[in-house]
Amino acid sequence: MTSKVARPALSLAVLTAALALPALTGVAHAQGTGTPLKVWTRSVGTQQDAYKAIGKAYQTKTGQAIEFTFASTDFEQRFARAIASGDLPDVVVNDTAQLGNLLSLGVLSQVDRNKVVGNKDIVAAAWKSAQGVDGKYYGVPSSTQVFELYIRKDWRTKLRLPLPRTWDDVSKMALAFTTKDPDGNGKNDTYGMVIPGSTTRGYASWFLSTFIWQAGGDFVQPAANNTFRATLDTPAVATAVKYVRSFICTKTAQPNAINAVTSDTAPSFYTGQAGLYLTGPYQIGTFDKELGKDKYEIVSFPKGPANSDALAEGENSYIMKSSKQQQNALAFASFLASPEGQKIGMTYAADGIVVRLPINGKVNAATVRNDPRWASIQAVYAKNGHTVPNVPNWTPIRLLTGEGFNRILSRCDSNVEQELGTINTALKAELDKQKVLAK
Amino acid sequence: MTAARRRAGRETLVAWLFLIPALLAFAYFKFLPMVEGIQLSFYKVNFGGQNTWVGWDNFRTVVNDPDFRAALVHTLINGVSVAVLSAVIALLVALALQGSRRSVFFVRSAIFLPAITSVAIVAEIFKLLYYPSATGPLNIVLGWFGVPAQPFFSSPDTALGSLVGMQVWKAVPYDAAIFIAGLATISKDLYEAAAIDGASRWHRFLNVTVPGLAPTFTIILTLAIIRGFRVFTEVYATTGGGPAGSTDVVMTRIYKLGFETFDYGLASAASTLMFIVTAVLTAIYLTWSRRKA
Amino acid sequence: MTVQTTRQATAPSRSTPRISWGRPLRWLVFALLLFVFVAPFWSVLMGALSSRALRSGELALVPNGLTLSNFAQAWKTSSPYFFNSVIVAAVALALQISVSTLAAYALARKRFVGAAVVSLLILTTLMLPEEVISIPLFLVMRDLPLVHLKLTDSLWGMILPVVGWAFSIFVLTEFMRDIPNELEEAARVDGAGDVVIFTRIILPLVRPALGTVTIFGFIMIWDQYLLPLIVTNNQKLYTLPVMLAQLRADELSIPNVFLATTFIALLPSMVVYYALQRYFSAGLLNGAVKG
Repeated sequence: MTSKVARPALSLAVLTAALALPALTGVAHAQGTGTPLKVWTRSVGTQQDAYKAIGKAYQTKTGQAIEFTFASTDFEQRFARAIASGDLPDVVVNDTAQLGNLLSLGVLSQVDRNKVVGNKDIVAAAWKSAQGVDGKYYGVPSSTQVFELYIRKDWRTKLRLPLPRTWDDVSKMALAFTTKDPDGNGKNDTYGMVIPGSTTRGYASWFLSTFIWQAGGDFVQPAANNTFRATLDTPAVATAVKYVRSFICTKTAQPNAINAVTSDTAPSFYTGQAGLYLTGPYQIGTFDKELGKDKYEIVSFPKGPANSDALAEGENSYIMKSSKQQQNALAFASFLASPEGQKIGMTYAADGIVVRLPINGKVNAATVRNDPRWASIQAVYAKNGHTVPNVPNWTPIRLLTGEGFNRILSRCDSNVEQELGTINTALKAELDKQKVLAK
Repeated sequence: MTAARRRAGRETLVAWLFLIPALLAFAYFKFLPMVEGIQLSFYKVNFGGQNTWVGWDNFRTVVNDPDFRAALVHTLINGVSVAVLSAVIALLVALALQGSRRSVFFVRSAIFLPAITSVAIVAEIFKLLYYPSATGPLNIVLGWFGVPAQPFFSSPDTALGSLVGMQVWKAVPYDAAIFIAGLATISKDLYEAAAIDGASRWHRFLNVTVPGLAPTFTIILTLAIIRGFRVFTEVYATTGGGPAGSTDVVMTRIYKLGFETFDYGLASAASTLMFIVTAVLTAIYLTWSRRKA
Repeated sequence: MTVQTTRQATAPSRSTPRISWGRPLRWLVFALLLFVFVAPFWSVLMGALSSRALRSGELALVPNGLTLSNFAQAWKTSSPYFFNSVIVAAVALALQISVSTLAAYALARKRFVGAAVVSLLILTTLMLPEEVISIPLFLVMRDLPLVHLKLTDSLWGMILPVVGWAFSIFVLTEFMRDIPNELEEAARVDGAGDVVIFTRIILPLVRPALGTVTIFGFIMIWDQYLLPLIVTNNQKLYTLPVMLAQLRADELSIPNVFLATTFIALLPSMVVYYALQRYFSAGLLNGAVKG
């Protein structure tokens, strides 16, 4: 075990050696390839197979073995355990929205953008999501995605409804799906909009963000000196919240919406319970398998009062400060972001895609997958992708707004403006805690 | 005199020797972590580096958090309701399942399933049973009696009650088994004597059965109190504390405050408080029941 | 005297309180109880045997297209975890019963200084929610004080922390208290020491209690979820409840396969219970209740 003094000296020596090597090979061998690189991801099912394939490809190319650990919703416990035991992995692939949280835990290594091989091919928007509030980069982008609306095409055509163009159209379609028996089984068992409204992990907030932005509002507004103002108590936000609540209160959403998490909502759509689902493209493989390509269609959520924005989020490869293989870690992250890595992540498992939309400009989702639907998703991302505000730590805000929105959604008669005022106050307190509250 | 004292001394030594394995296990895996946990309450826990001392701050945050106070109220309501309801219903079930007929025995062992099922699985089952639409299983059954479809977990007004129902369902078979055993220990002579004195069936129940079951009630209710405060998975796996925080209990609050945001100092402080409350309540209850006896 | 005995012999059930049933009413009550407590499990089984996915929020009374493929798939993915659970449960249970019987012997049969304090301390262990002591517990297990053992990243870390359980100690204590002193005294007169008395006299007499604590000890250990997560990050060491929770959160998992996995997870507890239940009912009958 290197002593505390020797470790930084060793890293410095290694970095210097690495700089001296020409960058053309794309991979630095400075630290040797003997020790497996430990990589954590949040993946389930065939997603794990996809990552293993990426690892294999990387090993074939560089001789570096990768040892994966796949967590799911137990990620927090296992990660905390790893921190507490000083046994962190080298790389963690996780949500871009978690950057602030991870940074506040003090576990992230700063990433020198220029050292990432092929860094210029990575799209600017993706780099932005790997940036901390201080402007420095703390991860290498690996995937991105945007929300779009999935509609049961067979239901829509059976009821002879046109594609929705406005929020109102969606409401009408949800009502039709609920009342007009679109699956023709003579039973009153179909619904319109699928909504994950649970407070767990802040899902209610995650779902509502698209609508808040489409209505022209936002959670916070940037102010002078890198501060933010809390802006939930605005008419635009109220409009958005009222709109989403209307589905629940007119009973045109799936019945357990208020407690639903994403593992409830996906089956809700593909078992034919509800016909409208605003979500990310990671479910396409499952929908193809369970429903069939011809039964559903993908469109961007119709334009709201102000714009057509949709929640865009992604994943970064975060390099742990404690890793003794900083160079190798960065190399692997670069590989994941390279055309080869991206392609494997996109196509290895049809229902387990780990790279949704590529963050590499040289890769085209529709071409690689031979599936034109992806072109429209890519277009939505480019035109309407909206990421969460660039506050120091988004996670606590997502959790507190999740609880607040869930509260509003669960009572059809509550005063929305008043409730939003309460949430806004809590939001101000959190911004203050993060030391970015505008004066 | 000395021989007796020596014997008493030897007895103590032997007793402690037999106790050592258990005490070691508890010391290492319960008491030591608990003490460390209490210690952590006074810090802001920074995993990467040093913990920072914050004194009573964590406790203050917990006590002042209005959601936490609401959670405490929910925990109490939940704990008491489940304890009382399951005890009463279990007694009725036990009365119905007394005896040694083969059919009774079969029913008794069949209905024990909820007791051997883990809480997580029970939560999954009830999410299905309680599905809030008119086609949800329980709503279909209610429909047979003309009761309109209930929202169960999906409304702040019914969520807590639904949770209580779920926990009662799980607790009744086990409590009933204990009552059945308890009923069997009451001497038949007492009933005979009361019958001879002309007591009606209801009076026999009140004056022989209920007092005879007193120790049983004590056990069941003590365990229920302790269990009531630790309720977590039941809530987290079904409603996550919602809707509108109506089912938030102490443990879900601790989980959200502490674990989802990695603030372990805060989580520890809240748990320390909770432990103290549980201990106090248990002590009060045990003293009260002992005094009654 | 004789009159009373005759009365007892002929009509023993007349005076104990029971709700008087007609035959049909009794069957109705039984049916109701079975419906309330058993029917939900039946639906889980039916869903697991169905080939077509049920719509969200619906239950099956009969399989929706009979198939065993869900069980096959469930077994394929869960069997490594199943075996981990079996190993942990078997070893931990054996240790737990040993430790509990030893402790119960002391509490039940010995009068000694500090008995009340020890009882109280053991009671408090029931009040500690495991979520809270999870991180400190982890730190302790990483390097056990004084003996410097590392229990993390091994099945032992899942076994040892559950060896001490207040519930089994209390149940066994109650039982052992009931054993008449004469038996023990007679043995002592014959020169038997504590160990002999413990193994040859006390233990055989508390078999019903052993049945009880085996059932509930097994279930408690089998259902452990948080402990395995604390002990290791190595997926290969995880037990069935952890895998089930991961499956639950898996947006890509098939609902019917999930039901099948749930049923598989339920099976061992059912087996243990039904194998030992005669001890359980006889056991409680003898006054675990008297506490």
